[in-house]
Amino acid sequence: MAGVNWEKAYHDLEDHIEAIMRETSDLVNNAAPKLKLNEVYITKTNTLDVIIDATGDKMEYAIDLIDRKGKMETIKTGYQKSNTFSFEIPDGRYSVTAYAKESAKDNSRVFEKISVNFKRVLNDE
Amino acid sequence: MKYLMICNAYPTLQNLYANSFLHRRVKAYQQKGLEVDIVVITTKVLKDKYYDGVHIKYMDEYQIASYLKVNDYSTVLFHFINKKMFYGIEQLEEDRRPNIVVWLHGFEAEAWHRRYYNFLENVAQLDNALERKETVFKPQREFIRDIMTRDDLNIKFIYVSQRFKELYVDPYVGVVPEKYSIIHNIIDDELFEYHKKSADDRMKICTIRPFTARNYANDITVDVIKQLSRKKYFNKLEFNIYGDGKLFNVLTNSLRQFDNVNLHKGFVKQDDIPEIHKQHGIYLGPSRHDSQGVSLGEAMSSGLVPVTNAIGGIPEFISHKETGMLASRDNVSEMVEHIDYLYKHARNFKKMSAQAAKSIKKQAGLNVVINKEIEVITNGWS
Repeated sequence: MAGVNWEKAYHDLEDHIEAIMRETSDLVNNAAPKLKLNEVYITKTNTLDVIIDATGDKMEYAIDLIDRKGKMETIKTGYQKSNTFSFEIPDGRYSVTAYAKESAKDNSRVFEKISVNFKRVLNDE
Repeated sequence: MKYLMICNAYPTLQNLYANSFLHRRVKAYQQKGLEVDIVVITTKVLKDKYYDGVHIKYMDEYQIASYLKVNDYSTVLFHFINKKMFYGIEQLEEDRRPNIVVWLHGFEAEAWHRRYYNFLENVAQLDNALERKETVFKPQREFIRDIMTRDDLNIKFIYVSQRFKELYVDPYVGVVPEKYSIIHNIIDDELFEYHKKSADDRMKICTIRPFTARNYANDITVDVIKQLSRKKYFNKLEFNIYGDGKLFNVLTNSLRQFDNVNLHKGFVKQDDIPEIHKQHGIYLGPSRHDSQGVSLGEAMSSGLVPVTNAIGGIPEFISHKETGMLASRDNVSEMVEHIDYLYKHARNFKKMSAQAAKSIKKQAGLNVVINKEIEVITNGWS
């Protein structure tokens, strides 16, 4: 019984693995990031500023701002390319729902809901 | 003497292309006087079928076991073997076991990662393959190794190429069986009849490939055409791309800009291929994984000069610049140079075309293969 020619097989496999690694590199470099909402930053000055930090492919962002006492009509910004929002609103308790989605994908969406007790901080204070 | 073939699929009127190469064999065996019954292993309850004079039975492993107990076959022939297909043999008393011939074609006897291209479409596919590593691939390897090393079986193995054996199967299984033969898949030289090529035919380039997985390397075909488009003579060339599969549009869309590249999306029946071969001079068939390269061989048989890669079993059938042109793995520039060479050396192209047809017929023509297989099936049993 003749044996296995391990050396010959090894060199062929080595060549093959190099091709596998090139393919892997291509896949990794071209892989779209997975949609993820990392953080919602809220800054209170004389406006309520919201920045949505999310990862994904060709992102769009939106905010729903709800006055928890119902005195003010809910603000729905609709999706926009910018991740930064600024609201000139009266002091009060609000619910902020921050959304992020990928433009090319209809069903992709991540969101986070945050309660905010907003009190304007005036510049000359 | 009666022979039984056990396989995973066999062509029927409803599915003409399931392992059609097995039917080609069976018809040839019949013509040589061998009586062969067919059993397709399946868990479905299916009635017997008749196709082109061949009786096909459908059984699970337990039915095969019962069938073998009451039917005496001198030799059982296995294609795409697995443990379930072999169960019936195991259930027979040792002195009642028939002679066994096992054909090793590809996936059933090589490492799963050799076909890694097939698992890269999404993460779930890759995870599934990794999961099957333990549950399917490892037991299959142990099974092949077991039947290759047992001394209670009168068993022979047929590999479709020497390089397939040495590069893929041997290191995967870790052993070499005592009795084996290298017998290639049939290149049907009656269907793929040689037609002499003219110098102008070298400017007509075709490819007929599935577009279902990356191992078929159709992306390389696309890149080769794009690189060739920078040549002054590009517009003199004509390309016809035939095939079907989920990758067809994705890969070929970028070629729509070229007037001389014709895209033919759709499954090509085997009977239609010779006519396509007749109209072309070069077969562009890059590959990342092949135990033999049957479509390349069929093109050669028709007189086309193959341009492909020196991987797997392919170099066993194509001698560079004699019967075709070989580039190293994934090497687009080399393939472009090879087509450039054929364009600039019309006389050599014609010579290679004739040599390719002659060589493949001698190596894997219908009669050559069938005579070798019948020799293995009928002779040399202890």
